[in-house]
Amino acid sequence: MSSSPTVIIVGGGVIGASCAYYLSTCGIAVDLFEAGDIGGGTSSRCDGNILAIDKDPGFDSQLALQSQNLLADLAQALGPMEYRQPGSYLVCDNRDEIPMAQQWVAMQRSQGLDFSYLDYRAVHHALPDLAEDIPGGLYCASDATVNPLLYTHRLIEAARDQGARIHAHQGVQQILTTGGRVAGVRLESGETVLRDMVVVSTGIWAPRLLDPLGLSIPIRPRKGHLLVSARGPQFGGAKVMEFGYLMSKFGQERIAPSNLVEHGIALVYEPTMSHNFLLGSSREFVGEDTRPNPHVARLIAQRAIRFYPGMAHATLMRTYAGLRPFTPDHFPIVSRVHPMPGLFIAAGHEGDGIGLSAITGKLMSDLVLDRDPKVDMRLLQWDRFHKEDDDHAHP
Amino acid sequence: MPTHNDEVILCRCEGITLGQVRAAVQQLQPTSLRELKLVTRLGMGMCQGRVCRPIIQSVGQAMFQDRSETRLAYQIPTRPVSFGDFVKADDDYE
Repeated sequence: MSSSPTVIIVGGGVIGASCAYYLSTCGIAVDLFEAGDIGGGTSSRCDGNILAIDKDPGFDSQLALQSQNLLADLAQALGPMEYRQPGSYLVCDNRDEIPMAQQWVAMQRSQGLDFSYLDYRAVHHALPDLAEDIPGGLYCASDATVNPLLYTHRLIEAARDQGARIHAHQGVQQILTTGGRVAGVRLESGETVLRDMVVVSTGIWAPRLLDPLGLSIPIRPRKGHLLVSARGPQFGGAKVMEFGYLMSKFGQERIAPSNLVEHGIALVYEPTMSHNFLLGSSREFVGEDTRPNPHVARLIAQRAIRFYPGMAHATLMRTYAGLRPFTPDHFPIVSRVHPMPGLFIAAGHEGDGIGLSAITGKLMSDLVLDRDPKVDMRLLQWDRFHKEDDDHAHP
Repeated sequence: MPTHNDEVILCRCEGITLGQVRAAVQQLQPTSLRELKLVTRLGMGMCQGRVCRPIIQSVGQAMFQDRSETRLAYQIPTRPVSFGDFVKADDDYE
């Protein structure tokens, strides 16, 4: 009997890459299969969020904090990935949002997070390019950012150095089972690969592999757009989002023009290390088409100029769109699949895949080695949606 | 390609040389031109490939000839425009 299990990871996005890294760190023999390019799906069509600012106080924010700490360590241990930790801001569009912003800060501080409320003077001192009528905002000091694709590649590079075998452009067609437990996978080429365990980390594409096994998970693609500026003056060195982004993320009512609400549009500004900046964001259920919609891109630009009038003179160079793997309660699935020994799922991170990647890979190594993860895994169970149906909408 | 020296500039906007591309290929082992582009910023500058696209695609062909997707995508607005003008543009125009 071998001392540690052999594992197949399906999917080479940031989540699969992190699982490959943490599993191979533990000396587990890993084969990772990716249907396309490494990071070629959602991980190359996103921004580099490593955020606690937008997490619900409690389990949500503690998970984010743990992942932030792991990521800070990874940034030291792995090759350059444009990691930095400037903190991040939420800014209010109108005075109605101010009491909610103050409440948000108070709740986060009571949980020990490094948040501060910024009144009119403070927010304009910190962010001098903001429109004059912005009434206030808040700041979270622990937030960081990274180049998401470079980070994915650095995880893969390190995993490979630790003995993981990385197979790009080799899609998995089917998960194979024998006697009610996992036996391995069949590749699109027809080849069969037999291992003890299979981790499914294919984001929005996870249901396709699990449906044939009679396992249903409610992951849906939620499209988001990003606009890229040309190199030029930036509008501050830290990430800035509007407070309404929180409400848009959690599907709460928000005072904003109806065309913004319709496409889930809220300001996200992210400066990059390449001297340009990214603008988002949109959240829509419109299938799997990643072509940018010019109408949505225009509304995002319009929203950015509302907060940063000076951006009207900056240059737009490119737009792109990606598909977030949405789950109904906004938590990812990081779980053993009990009815099918040897099967694991790490998917459904919506817009937090980069930020939660490190803790996800770490937790997956605990699950595979049957160690105590020191996190309440019930909230990340694959079958929690069946048990609770829709009476557990996000608070 | 093998005969060119490392100092040859492939992408003027981002200042990417053949040597930088070779180093990235060796270190990160990209498997397609899109992946190579994203890890080096090749063709990701102001010209968005209008100047360098033929050069970059010939590099892609030489490095990834077994892949069909050696062509890079075009994305709106296809040429640089100020955010202010972009917002003003007529939807029907597309």
